[in-house]
Amino acid sequence: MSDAQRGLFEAMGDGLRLRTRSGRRRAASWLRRLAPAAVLLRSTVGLSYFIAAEVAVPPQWSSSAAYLIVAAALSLTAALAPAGIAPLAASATVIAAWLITSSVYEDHGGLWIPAAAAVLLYAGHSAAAVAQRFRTTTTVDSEIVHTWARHLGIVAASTVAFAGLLALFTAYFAAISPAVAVGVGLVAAVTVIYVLARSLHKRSPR
Amino acid sequence: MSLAADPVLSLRTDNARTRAERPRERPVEWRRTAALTRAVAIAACCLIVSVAFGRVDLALIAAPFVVGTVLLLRERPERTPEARLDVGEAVCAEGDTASAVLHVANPEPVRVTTVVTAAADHWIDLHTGRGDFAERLYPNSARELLVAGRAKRWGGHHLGPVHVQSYACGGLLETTVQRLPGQKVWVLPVPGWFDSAESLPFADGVAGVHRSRRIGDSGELAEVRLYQPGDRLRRIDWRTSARSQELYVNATLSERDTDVTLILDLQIEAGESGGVDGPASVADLTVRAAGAVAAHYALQGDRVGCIEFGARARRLRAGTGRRHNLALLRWLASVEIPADSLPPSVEMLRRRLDSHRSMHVVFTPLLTERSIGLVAALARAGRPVLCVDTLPGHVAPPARSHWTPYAERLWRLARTNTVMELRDLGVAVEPWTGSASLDDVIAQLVRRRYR
Repeated sequence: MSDAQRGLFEAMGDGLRLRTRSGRRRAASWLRRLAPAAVLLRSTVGLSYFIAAEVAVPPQWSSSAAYLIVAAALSLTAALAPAGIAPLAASATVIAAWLITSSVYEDHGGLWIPAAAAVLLYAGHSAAAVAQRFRTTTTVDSEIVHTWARHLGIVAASTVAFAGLLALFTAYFAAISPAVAVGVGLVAAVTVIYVLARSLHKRSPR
Repeated sequence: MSLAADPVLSLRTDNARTRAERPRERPVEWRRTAALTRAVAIAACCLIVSVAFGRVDLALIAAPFVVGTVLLLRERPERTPEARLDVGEAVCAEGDTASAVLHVANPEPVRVTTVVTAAADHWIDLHTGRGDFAERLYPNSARELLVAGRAKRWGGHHLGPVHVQSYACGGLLETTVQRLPGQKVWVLPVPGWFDSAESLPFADGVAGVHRSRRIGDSGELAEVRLYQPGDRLRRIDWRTSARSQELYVNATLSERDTDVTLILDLQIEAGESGGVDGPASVADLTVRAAGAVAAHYALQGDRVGCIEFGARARRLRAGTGRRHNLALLRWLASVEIPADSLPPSVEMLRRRLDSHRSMHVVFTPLLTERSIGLVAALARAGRPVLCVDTLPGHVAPPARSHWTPYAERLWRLARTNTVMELRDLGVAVEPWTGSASLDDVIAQLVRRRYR
């Protein structure tokens, strides 16, 4: 019997067997080549976004199945595709959830929750920035991870310091008239954006 | 008229497809990543909303993004790292490491991360951490990064291309991908061990290890003859001389080298090659067996030449010694069996054989009429032919129906008949089984020669 006389189901079965075998071989090869540092960075991306999403909302929301599914799906997508739009979507979702819940629930507020959420969001963002071009099999120099961790520590410390500063002077903010507060805030925001834009375009000092 | 303006050169070819323009290589330059856009977008949006709605907490959320981005962008590189791939010697043995050195230089006073992604032929198994890795480059420094893999099978294999991309500022800036074209690495076959104590027929060279039919200095006794002026005194056979009262001397046969011509039947490939550790295909067995036989005789001092009975019909001149053995291995590594090639001509191959008085070793799986015809034609022409069967034992037709085993059995019976017919013609046919597997058939050939 030649190939032309072979039954359709027999040919399909052969093809399926071949594909299964090659898939199993590919999976074994991928598992053998899996690089711990690259996987660690991606896990950090996913976990940071998920914990930030849980921290940013009150317990009523964080324990609901729908919110959990959305948070887990966004975190997982960000971990799997750190170079895409998923980290931005996850950050936007967390910030939106924080804005809504802090407006709806009066008792869910304070400065330490947004400070924690901010640090976690930045951890996810910076880990995604480092891991965006690494594959799960890319062997990463440990120096790269150390540099990232050091940078994250500095930023986290400065955020906590900024939160402490804000907490200390909260009483003074209430005394300022709204027009002045808006003016000062506007100037501060424009300054920060200008600094960001300038650092983007200026030449390296060294 | 200049050459560029010559109308003959600008004629259209017969090919209907228009010739594709080669895409121009983009210069390597720094560009922003999605992470930088994300950081700026989050910080700006949070600050604007914070000001618009008087929300201090949003300013707090924006703070790490602002601080982190400003800190990272303080050290911005301008010039891109320069990468260069150096394959070096580009020759290795089967099972050894094929490698290339990637030189990356960072001309900037900032730290840069370089991600290297290498591709290779499927017969080069890139080592973990040596084909896809990220390394840190320190300011104003250069590094040599090794791209390496295990060469699993003989032949010319491609190592590369290698893609190099660099990052700075914690992943906020990246370079465009630099593609470094790879190079061919020649993987030499590791021949099986072959050793033979038998002399070869037609030993009529200058000096070697095979017993020739010419008289000369050696240990092999040819005859006892009367003394002639010029004979050496130590050759005198005193016992015979005393008995016959006349001086007799022992004449011996000289030991000389011979020509060995290896003919590689490369018409059909059968069986799936598993590389140096897996099962062998017909081409694997042919190349490794030829390498083993060639190494034995070339290092022994005989002149070994090779000729392909296949689509390309290449030929390697006869030579001897260690250097010739290396050249022969390199020649064997270039063996190819193209699909749907033109069948070779037996007559053409016979015309290309140098000497009538050399030992012809034909490595063939005996799968085509043409191969059998070649062996028979050589034998009928009176050449000493040794046929090494290179069909691996595990090779069998794929099971298509319940008739397959019966068909295979019939085919094997027909093949055995063919082998017996060849033996009747005086061809020694022997399957390749490695060390000393050809001693018996070589001895038969020599006996036939001196009969």
